[in-house]
Amino acid sequence: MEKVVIIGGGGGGAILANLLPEREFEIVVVDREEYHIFQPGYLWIAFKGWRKEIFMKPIRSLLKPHVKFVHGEATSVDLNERKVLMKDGKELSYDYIVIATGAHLNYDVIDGNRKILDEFGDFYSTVENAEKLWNAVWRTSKGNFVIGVADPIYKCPPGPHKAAFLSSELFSRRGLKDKVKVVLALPFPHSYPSKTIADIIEPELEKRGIEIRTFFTVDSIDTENKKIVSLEGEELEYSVATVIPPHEGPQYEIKPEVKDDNNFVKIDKYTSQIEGFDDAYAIGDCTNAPTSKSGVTAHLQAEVVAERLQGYDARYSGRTNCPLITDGKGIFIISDYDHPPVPVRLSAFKRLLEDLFLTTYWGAIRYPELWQPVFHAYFNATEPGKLVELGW
Amino acid sequence: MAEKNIGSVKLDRILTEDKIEALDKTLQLLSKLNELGILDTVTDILEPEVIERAASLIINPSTLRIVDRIDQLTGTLGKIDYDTLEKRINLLNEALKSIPEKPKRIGLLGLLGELRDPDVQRGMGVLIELLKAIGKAAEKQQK
Repeated sequence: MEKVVIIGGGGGGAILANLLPEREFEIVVVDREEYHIFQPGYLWIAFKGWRKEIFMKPIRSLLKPHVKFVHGEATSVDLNERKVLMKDGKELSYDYIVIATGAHLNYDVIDGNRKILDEFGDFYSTVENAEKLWNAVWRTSKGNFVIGVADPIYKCPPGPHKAAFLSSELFSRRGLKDKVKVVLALPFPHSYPSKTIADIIEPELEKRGIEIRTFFTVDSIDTENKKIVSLEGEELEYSVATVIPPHEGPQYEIKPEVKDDNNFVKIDKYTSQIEGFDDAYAIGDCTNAPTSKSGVTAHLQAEVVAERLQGYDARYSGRTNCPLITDGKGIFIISDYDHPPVPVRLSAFKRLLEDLFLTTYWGAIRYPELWQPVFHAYFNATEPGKLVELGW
Repeated sequence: MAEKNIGSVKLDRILTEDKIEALDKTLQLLSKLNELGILDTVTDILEPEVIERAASLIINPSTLRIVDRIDQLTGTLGKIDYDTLEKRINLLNEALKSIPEKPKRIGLLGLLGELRDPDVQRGMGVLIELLKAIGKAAEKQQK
């Protein structure tokens, strides 16, 4: 039996662990946290006031019984010696390693970013910060609620947009539609990196009075005067603000040097193999794969690695399926390495699919055999090459 | 021994009269399903490959597009005059069948020549009524 060590029990690691056959592999999942968080839930906590417990489950409960779980922090990975060094001094040797530790959000790059995180919370880091943001937003009765993005590389590309729609709906329901303005400040030329998608969502943003500031790259935050300043020289006043910080790859040491300038692990974008190694893989937000950082990416890469470890030539197509929801409707941003996003119609049905996904998420991780066929059928049916000009 | 007692105490608390009735009925249902062989069948069908095949039949671009517009679709289908459709479906079938793979080009002189054919004349009769109806409906729509 070969030993597979998976660092990270999140959206990529947990699924991968449950996909590997028990008879063939000894599987160990390492995570410094006890809980697996359904990260899109931060939005529901911050803007709908939902309880955080809905979006948290102990990693141990999500893993099949035969999978070992080590609650601890990896401090160093030696790809040549095939060893993982833990904080408590223990060493884990492996036959295969999969790095799935996600992205590190660096709040100390942009001046003032950590200050506003402490003051207002956010919807990108922890459930506690999401709860903090709910309180901050609830207390706001005038001025601007600014959602800013510091760097074009961040997980869940439609995240800020979902926050804009959901917060706008919240202010509306509080009768504050004309008193509080939601401002979306983005470092892109359009309201969304893809013009196809921007054309679909812009009318919706305008309809709801959400202000879009393009070409706005957050440079610093003046917390005394409550202003966000952009590299382009513009200023934005705020009553409440949240800025999605620059993302980086794993902060722990990986020997030899396989990370890029942003610390993301360099992989083959199709096979998820770490460059230069045939027994080391990386999946999810920690890699340099040239596609959106999202749960779908981690999931599909996990499937590819599971197949490859069993000897099949599986490849990741770069497929994305990011949901962008407004209050009653939704779209999916469907693209892959060979196709830019296809035109997708805002519909109530897609919004329903998003809710269904929320409710079935835990089951899908714990029982991948049941859900894989359904997901396969869906991803197959909605391949960008098949949807093409007609879209969905 | 002590553990068994704790278990049976818990069970006693849970199994109230109404729950016992519900449990009994559920077990009756399961017994019936078992007799009919349905339990065995369902167990057999629940294979990943079968689920995948069934899922891909149900989930494809066409069905997804239809389901996405289900409210529009039912609204539109609901407006169709089914009595008329039922009466005219044969005519529609014939009309669709008649469309040639490679249509001939017929100019004014050709048209005049074809108009000597009684079938074509009858067809013209239908077309004129169609044009009148479309014309009237188009005017209604403009208002």
